[in-house]
Amino acid sequence: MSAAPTVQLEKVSTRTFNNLTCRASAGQVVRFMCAVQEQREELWGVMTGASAPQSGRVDLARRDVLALTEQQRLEWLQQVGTVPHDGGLISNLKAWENIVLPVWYHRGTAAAEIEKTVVTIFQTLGLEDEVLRHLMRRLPDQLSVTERRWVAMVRAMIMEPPIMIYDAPFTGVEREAATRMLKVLLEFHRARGDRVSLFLLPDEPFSERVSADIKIALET
Amino acid sequence: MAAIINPDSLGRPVVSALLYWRDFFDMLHHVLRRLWVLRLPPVRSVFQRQIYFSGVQAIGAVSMIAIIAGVVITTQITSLVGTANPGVTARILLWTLVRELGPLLSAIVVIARSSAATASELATMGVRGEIDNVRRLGIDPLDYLVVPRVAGITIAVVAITFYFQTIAIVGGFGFAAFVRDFSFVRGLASIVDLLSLTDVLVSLLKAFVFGLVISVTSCLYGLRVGRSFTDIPRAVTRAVLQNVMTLFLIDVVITYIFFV
Repeated sequence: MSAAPTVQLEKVSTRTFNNLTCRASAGQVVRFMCAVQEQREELWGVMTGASAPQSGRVDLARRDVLALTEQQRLEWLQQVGTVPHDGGLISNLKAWENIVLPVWYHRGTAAAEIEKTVVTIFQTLGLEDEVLRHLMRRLPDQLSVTERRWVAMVRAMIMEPPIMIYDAPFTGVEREAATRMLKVLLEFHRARGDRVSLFLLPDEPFSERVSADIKIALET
Repeated sequence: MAAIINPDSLGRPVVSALLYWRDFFDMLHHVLRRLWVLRLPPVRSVFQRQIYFSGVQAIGAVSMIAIIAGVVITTQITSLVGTANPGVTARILLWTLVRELGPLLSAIVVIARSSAATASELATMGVRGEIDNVRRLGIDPLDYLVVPRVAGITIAVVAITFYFQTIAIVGGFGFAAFVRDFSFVRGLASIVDLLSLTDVLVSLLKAFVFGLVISVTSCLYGLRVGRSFTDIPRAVTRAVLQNVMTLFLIDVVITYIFFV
């Protein structure tokens, strides 16, 4: 008997797409290819529990997202790592403080304990020590979109969540950097056998390079 | 016959005031119920920064206003009653500075600095979607953003009030002793003699309530904004105005309860 899917979308409809169904089990990568930006934004809202679809059911980490109370939703969000398109950083915290915030808040982990992991991830992304030191001291408004996404990515990874949702992580990133990012994300996915990674991607050439177990194209 | 009083224009401020107080007590209730989150290191860090900004960094402005207030009031009193009787000067100074102006002026300094800053910071975060970003990390925005600000500003107002009163009295007596024939030591001794526990406690109570009102109101208006940048200055203006009006209202109520 197979285990219940970790991610399950049942006939989800919004303004821009209809009857979206997807069942992903532990260890799978899902690629949602969105024809228009509104589809991606609405799917992101539905999956992160920020907005309700017109109809359908959304189960992530085996919880009915739409039925959660505010407090339950906050607890559930600790199981779901999110990397928004714009990075979703807090503007009055430096890059390093943004990375540390959730793990420090939820687990009380001191910054020094995660420093090595953070440095390793950024080195894989191709950042030299000096550049990294400079990056960590800057506020989000002083970072490029790519750098903001890197920070958001590392912030989510540090929490080791069983589900990761990426919102157009490669858009606007130069090809070489995007390739390194994809490598890091897929390695991170494989590092935990039961992780589910959901990529919400625009319909652009690089998106095709995201190898996925489940590929869904949202048509207009 | 045309109505002299338009029920709509009469009703709107009343409804608005009722909504303000309802939301105020909702937020205050949340803060008091979740005060324990100050134990969490990131929340404590925001709390410490708030005390530093609202308290430590306000010392310069508070010192200047306190000295000026002390000098002006002492000069007026000594002009009126002379310098031969420091007891009378001390008594009037106590009434004006410790009971009334100390808490009020300290709170107004905090409104000018921290209320506007808090409301605009939270409003900007709201407009930029950062409140949702905090929530998406599984963190309750009220716990992380509001609780430490309310606690920090309230403590800062209490500390600043005590500091203001001390500086104003010492400054006022010092100035009087310097330019007129006034005994600085006898003046201070009279203050110590006359100062009752009620004066001190009511003064601190006022500061505490002012601190709560300023912080909760600022957070409330800051978090109420929509998604437009034009909402930010409006939120700041409303927070400051609401704070000033509420402050004077509460001052009257507390003074009436304890001193009439």
